[in-house]
Amino acid sequence: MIPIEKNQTKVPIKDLAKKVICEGHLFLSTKEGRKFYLMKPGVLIDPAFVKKHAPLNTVFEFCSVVDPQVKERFVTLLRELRYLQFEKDLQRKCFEIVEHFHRVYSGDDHFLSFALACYEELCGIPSELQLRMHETDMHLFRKGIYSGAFAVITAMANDYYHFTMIRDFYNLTFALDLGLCDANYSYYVAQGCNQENKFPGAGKAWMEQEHASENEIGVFLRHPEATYRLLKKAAVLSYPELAEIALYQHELSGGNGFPRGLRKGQISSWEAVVLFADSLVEISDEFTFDTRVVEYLLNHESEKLKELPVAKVHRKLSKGLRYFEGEEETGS
Amino acid sequence: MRKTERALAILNLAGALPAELAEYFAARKIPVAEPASATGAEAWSHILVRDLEDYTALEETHGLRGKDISLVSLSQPKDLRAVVAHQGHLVLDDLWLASAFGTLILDKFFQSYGGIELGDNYPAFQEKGSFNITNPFSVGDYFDRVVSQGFEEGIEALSVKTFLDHLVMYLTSLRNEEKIGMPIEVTYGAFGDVFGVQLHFFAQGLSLGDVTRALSSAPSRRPLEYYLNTAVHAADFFDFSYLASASKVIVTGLWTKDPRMAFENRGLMFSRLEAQAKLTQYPSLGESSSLVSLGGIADHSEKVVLRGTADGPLEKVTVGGARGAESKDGAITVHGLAGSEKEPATRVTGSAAAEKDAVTIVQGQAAAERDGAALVKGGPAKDADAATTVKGAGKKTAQAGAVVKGLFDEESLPPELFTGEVFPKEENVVVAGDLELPEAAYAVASEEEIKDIVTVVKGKFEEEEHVIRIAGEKLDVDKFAFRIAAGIEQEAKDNNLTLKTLGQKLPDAIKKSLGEFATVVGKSVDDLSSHELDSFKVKHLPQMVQTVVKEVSADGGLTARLRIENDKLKAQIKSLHSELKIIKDSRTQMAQIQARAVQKASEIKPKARDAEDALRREFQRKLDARKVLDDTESKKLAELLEEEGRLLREAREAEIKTKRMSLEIHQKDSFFQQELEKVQKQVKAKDFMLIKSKETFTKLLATKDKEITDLYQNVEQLTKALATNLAQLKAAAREEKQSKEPKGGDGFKVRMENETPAPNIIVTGDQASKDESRKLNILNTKLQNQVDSSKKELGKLTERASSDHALIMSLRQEKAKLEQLLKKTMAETTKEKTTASAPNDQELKRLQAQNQVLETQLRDAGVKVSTLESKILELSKQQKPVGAVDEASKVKITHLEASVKKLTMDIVESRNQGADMKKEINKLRQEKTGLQNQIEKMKKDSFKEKGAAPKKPGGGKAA
Repeated sequence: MIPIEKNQTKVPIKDLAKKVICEGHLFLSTKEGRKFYLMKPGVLIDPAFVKKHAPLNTVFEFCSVVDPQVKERFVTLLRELRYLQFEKDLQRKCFEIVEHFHRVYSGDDHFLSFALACYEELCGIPSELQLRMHETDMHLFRKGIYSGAFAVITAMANDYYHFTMIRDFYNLTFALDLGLCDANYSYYVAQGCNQENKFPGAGKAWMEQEHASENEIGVFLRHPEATYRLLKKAAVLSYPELAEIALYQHELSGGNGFPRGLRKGQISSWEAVVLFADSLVEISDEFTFDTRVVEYLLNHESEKLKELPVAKVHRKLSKGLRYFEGEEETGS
Repeated sequence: MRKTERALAILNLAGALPAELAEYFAARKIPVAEPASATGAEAWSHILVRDLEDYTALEETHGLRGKDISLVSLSQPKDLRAVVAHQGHLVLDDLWLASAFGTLILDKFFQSYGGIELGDNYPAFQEKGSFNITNPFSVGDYFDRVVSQGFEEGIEALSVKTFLDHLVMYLTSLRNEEKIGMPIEVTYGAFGDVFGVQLHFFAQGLSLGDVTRALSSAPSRRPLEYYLNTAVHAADFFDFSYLASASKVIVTGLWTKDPRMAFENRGLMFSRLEAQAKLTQYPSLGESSSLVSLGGIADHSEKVVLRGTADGPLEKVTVGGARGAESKDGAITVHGLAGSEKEPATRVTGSAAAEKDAVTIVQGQAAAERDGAALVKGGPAKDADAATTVKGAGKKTAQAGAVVKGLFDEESLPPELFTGEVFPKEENVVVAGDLELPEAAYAVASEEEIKDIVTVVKGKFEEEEHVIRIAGEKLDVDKFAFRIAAGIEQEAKDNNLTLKTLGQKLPDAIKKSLGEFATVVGKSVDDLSSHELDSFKVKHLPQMVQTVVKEVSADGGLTARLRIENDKLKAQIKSLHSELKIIKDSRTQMAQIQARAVQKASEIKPKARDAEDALRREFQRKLDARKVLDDTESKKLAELLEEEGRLLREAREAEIKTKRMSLEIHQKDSFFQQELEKVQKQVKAKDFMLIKSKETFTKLLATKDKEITDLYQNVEQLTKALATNLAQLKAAAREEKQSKEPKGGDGFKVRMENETPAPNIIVTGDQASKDESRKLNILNTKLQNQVDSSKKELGKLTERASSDHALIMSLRQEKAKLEQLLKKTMAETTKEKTTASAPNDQELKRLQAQNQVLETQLRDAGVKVSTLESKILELSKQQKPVGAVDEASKVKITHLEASVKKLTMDIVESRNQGADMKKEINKLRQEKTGLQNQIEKMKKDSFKEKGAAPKKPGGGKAA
């Protein structure tokens, strides 16, 4: 991992404006030499920010965490996948991507390189919706960037090889929190979502315990349907029927989830792919994903996954990743 | 959605229950009622039936369709659709019940449990693999893997392939109808003797009825039905479950190793997983397959087992190049090959044939009729380089005889063999070595033929006693063996089956070869010794057989083609025969008709003509003899001539009549045609008119709708305007009130409090006052602009008024002139025409009155304009410079606003007045022109009257 203090470069606003997502840590120095931390990696560089600094010709301190070569390699692989037709070729290409992923993220390369490659090649969410997510909470957008990328690799490891299907998984996972973008969104709603990912019913219980308002609880409980409606309206999916997955985002085993309270054995692998990827990232500014992503994924089979329908999906993912580990061991 | 427990109440209409089922119900403590004990008030959850074909009685008694009752058929129904249509949700044969899996099926059905994973549906199922279908046309590799796994599990996996192929195509069709969604997740696994494949997918728009409607017992040519039915029938057990809470459908196909089950019994289950009874819970042992199993697929083609058709007793036929493959009961195994190892001796059927050594299967009589069927006519071969063996039913393994075709020339064999006709059973002799032949053995040739053909062949015996072998050089090599197991008489066997005679029916090839052999030896055929015959059979005959086989195999395509052509020609001949027959029939009919016509014609010939002819002949004879006719004769001649003339006339008339008739008919025909065309045109025109009128009506309707909407809008606008007017009026009233109140800070404050709608906004300090003054300034400028524009408009109006005034003045002048003229003319005409002046006076009076009215109106308008001008002047005087805006200015602004409103009202009024004046002016102009015309007319009349008056005597000037 590159230290933030070192390798800092000067980036003028006109160069930063060319990018959609911040590819590193962004600072602003005062005349006195004091530094202010402005942006985290993975945050949207919104037009208002550019508009504010463009007349001033602001020059920022920037520490990139994206490896352009890694990103370009993933971009190439995804493009190759896009133009393949036959199942065998698709399967082979997906395994190549999973293998490359394993090779890259067994070390300490930043996950953002892959996430940005996925964003460039797969994202089909309209910019106004992206901006809406960012304006509601910049961590919603940032979470979407990372969880979408996790959905891609999980889908590939779970026998989904078609580009269109993978793209739909990405967009679904990316936009899964669109339903939260409400006037009554708050810290409680975000934390409720995080808590609910741990075990069913935990989100609402936590919100009630923290004395969240009824409106906030309402936003939290209604957001699966809201996301579903927004996705249907935006028509971003090649397989429109997959929009239904948005309704499953808090449907966990035991029938304690919402909105339908589905029991174990009613959630398919395609739903589980999205749910698992979504559960990997929290709506918070804590995560950085700058060290050993593969290790993170393999060890993710924690207590919270035991009773969840995503366990099978995770098993397949870890099996796929370990397969390449085995190959490396035998190779060496 | 939580599942609700469902009480089970089963009515048994199937008679005595199988022991296993009774045990099952007893073990699960499920009550089963007999019809005798039923009171009729029970709410049955399930009804057990067996061999039921007519469901009307059941429907009438229990009303299946309206209730939540499931029918369980304990036997295979004849009409599958009828069962399913009458709530038949489970079809399960006794054989299923006897197996361990039967309990699982019953548990799943009665408990209504299930899930999207195989282990959820059938607990304890060991998952062997899974894959997802996104593109249904790129699934070959996956299906191959499933089929391979099926072979490994020991089931007839070709059925799995059929099931998957057809089901996925069926689902693809449903997806295009947006009834289901992608992806389709496929899981496959095994449990004991059962192999299962499960598919599940989104099914938002699919109902159970969509599926059951496409079911039928008979094969259908409708694609949707065909694909579903094929898939259903390909599985030993077909399970369709609808998971309502998650909008998903789970389809499971099960296959067993038990051949009885595969051939005789199939099961079907349709369930809607909504309710759940708590009976037994199984721990799931299912485990997911590896995602990275990219290894090759094993070749299981030797395990390909083709099932027989449903007709007749089914015998299992195993095909395979694998040596020594043991067949099961009733199976026929054909070992070895004719000809070379690689080349097929006969036609090959089945998918495995392409890769494996050629093997031909004969299965039953029905199979013998098929193209691929190979019959062996037990004829001797001349050459036997490669021997072929047909293993018969002589063994205790009960292998029935199979037959291989293609060794002999067609000419040397009876034609029945090539036409595919099966011999009558009475005349047939089974090709088998054992005297105790099973009934299912295959008849090949008659006994006599066997005697004549087969017995002449002397073969080398192997260890089997009842098998005759004609062996080649490599006697020990099985694959070059050609065994003929036939019902050969014991005598022949005792005599070691020595070749004694060539026989009449011995194939020409063998005869020729034997003849050649005899010439080489230097003997006649009859003189050949047994040793020489042995050497012929051992050396020459196999070679000959091989060459014949090669020729036959080489000409296989040709013969096939010839056979097809032959069939075609036969069909053509048949059709020609039928045509010929028709033609012959028609000809005979024609001939009969002609004969009848001739007969009738001869009958019609009048007798009177005979006498006339005789008379004519006599006269002719007399004339020829130059005899003179006497009077009576001449009279008769004259009469005859007259008669002839009459006849000729009549004929001519008839001809004319017919011509007329034909012409009339022609004309009528053309007339009718024209009429028809006319009518058609009229119909078309009417249609066109209808269409047009429809269009116009639609347009009219659209315009009316538009008008209505416009009217609605107008009404809305008017209501809005009314509301705004009311608001203005209120404001004006408030203003008036305030103007009456003493001007001061408190009063202003009170007004501000009343007017400000948002009490939350509290503006304090200099900034607030500045903003306020800025706003007021803006308002002031706006008002000034409005005043300016109103001034301009007023100016315009005054200009217009002055121009109108000038016009009125000019009109007055003209009117005065005209009046003068009128007076003059009146003075002139009063002398002669006093009556004509009365209306003109009246008219003039009317015009004068109108003029007076107009003048008064103009005067009023002028007064109003002057008052407006004065008001504007006052307002402009009242306005102060913009810079100094204080609180008092606000009041003034409100005053200004009110005055501007008044001004605008006045302007509108004056505009309206102007318009009225214009109208009046136009009227006046028209009246003026009318008057002028009247005057001119009167002038002319007066001049005429002057001209017409008699001149005075001596008056006037001389011309």
